[in-house]
Amino acid sequence: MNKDIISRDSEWREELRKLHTTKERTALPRVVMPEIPAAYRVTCNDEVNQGLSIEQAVLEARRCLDCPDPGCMKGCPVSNNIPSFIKNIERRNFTEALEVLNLTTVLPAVCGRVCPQEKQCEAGCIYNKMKKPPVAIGNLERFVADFNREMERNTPAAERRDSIHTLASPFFAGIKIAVVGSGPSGLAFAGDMAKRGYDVTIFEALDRFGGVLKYGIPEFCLPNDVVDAEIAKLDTLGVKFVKNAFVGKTISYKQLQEQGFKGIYVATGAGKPRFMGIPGENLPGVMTANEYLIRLNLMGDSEIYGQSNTSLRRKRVAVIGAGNTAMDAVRAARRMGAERAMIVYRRGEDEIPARAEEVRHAREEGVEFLTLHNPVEYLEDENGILRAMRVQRMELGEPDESGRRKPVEIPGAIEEIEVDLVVICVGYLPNPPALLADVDKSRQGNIVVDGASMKSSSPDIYAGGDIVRGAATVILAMGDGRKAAKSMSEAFENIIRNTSLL
Amino acid sequence: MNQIKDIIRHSEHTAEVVIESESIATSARAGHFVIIRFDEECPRIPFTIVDTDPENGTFTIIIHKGARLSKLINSLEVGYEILDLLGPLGQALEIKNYGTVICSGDGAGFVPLLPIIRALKKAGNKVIAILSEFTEKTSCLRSNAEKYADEIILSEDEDETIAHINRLSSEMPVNLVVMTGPTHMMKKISECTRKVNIPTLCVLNMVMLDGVGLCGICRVMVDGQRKLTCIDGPIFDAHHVDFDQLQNRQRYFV
Repeated sequence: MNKDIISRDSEWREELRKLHTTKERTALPRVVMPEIPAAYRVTCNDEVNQGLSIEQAVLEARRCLDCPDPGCMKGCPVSNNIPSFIKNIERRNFTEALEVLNLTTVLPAVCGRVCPQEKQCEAGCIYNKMKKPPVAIGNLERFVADFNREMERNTPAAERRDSIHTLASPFFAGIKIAVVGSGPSGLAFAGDMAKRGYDVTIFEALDRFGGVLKYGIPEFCLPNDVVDAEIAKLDTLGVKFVKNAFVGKTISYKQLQEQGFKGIYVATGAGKPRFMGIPGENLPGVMTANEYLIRLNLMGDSEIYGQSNTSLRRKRVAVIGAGNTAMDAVRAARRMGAERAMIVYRRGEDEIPARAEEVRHAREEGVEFLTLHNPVEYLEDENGILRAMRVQRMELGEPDESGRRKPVEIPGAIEEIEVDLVVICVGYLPNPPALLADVDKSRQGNIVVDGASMKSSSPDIYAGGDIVRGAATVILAMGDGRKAAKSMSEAFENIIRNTSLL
Repeated sequence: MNQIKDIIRHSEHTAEVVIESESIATSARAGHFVIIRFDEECPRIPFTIVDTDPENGTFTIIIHKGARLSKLINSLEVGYEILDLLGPLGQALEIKNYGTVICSGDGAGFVPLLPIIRALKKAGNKVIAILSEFTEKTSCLRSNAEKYADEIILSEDEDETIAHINRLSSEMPVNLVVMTGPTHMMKKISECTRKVNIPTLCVLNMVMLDGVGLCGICRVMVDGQRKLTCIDGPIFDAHHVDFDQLQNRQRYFV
């Protein structure tokens, strides 16, 4: 790869910096992401954010001051070279911008859409110190990925330029690596290992690849073809994909090792739904967010088995919890025709853990936020079907160990709210089963790893993503995958080095 | 891979389908099930693994019209490649010589009992099968059970089944009851066997979406604990299952 495209000292970059003064750059307003209007988007599954145009992207890229010590990069869990990709946008070298991103991420189109940038890269942007909105790094990342994907689609395969640079070493081609789970962490790990030249196979329990990106995140936030395009890139890197393989159940870890897999990366995620343990959680009409979203995302309108999706069309829907999945579910409820779609959350407005953009989108789409409300019971009608929920009003007390102000019950302040459907989204437990004999696990079932190397207590088995950290974000899962790939590869390099010395 | 090797159509309602899968053929045990998605339009459907043939690398499922699958039954043919097949799933029954075991099921709900009857018989148990709501639609189940059960009793309804269990347990020591069928029936039988102190297992037949523990749709309260049929089941200690709640939930589906 041409070093020139990432070096801050390259000639083009210095000239670009001189092209506009800091004053000129900081005078530009942050480009607003074009969105389809709320009234229309609740009628369909179209992606809400339409993406920046070329001119919008170039203008936004101009705002970036190309800091010598960029704060944005420190906030990125995979250390994307943010100023370098943005400056390549500014000079309209969009393919080079993608080359920069491909060095550190396998899912730029996904991360540009679902990362909580306001807490990561954009939080470290110099503009915050000037009390101005930060450079729209997420929107620019998405632009680069989308632009190049569209270009590729319109270019015959033979004429495509290879934008992924591999460090492939022939030493590694004979080393078989298994990845368990095809979610963001597994994909990131697989991408990094394949680039290094390893023979990588991803095993997925479900009938399609992408994990939570597919079954969890709805089309209007992250279209499935965007995910598929990112997965196709791994395919071109030589990664093999095996579906319908539930490792630990339909095929054992031991069998994988017997098949010659020398290293295993476990990225099985945390998708086992938590319940609150209050009366009525097993009533018909109360379901998990996974059930709701899997029905919507994967099941289509099939009538031949189980319930069709028409039964999800309820008038009054309450989603319990206020994380990203809860926002996805409640916004999906509006799209399924709910007249009242509510977020019920026991803490206050400021404590809502979901991405700010998702919360804003939800509000625009008419979602009600019942913050400082905690469900205590679900009530049934005379037929035994969900009729209403009883909620306890809360107020904010002293900060708890998480630093957030602890919600305390207001004595006697209990109200009853009529609902037709309750979607529970109060967190996830590690996915069962992790039948790994000599791997240490926490009481909750999370795999315990060494934080620097992502290595488990069992030799040759590494783990990362939600199976290690509990339900977190796509980008943190990817970060783990990259870290694990680096340390696993170093382990193999050591073995090779020591062997050749003999 | 996953090719349909044989279809035995017992009636327009019921078909035995023999599917190629070496790994399932060699590793499946009584109680295990598979999740199948026949084509792109098809949801993920769980089926009991009724039989295995490790030598030929095949296993058998029984598809019954009852599950709104009649169109599907008619469309399948030998040589068809099944799109998605995942299994064996679930926890197998502990197979040992319990002594005398009553296996009770009704109609198409009898399917999950077939591999259990066979395995228990092979382990030296005396197996008595009670089939209720028996019609010509389910006659193939009887012929499947007859090969292995020491005795087959036909029963009109759950009251008659309970009378049979009471009679049998007064005539001889009954060491275990394994049952399938509609929830209200399992509840009644469970109450009966609790009184006469016979350990009782139920094989639950639940709607599933993913079958790998994500959706929680197959949850059931067992001894106050929330269990997932796909991961922890499908076999549970019937004396600890909250059948009332289960029945209430099930009305909402299928």
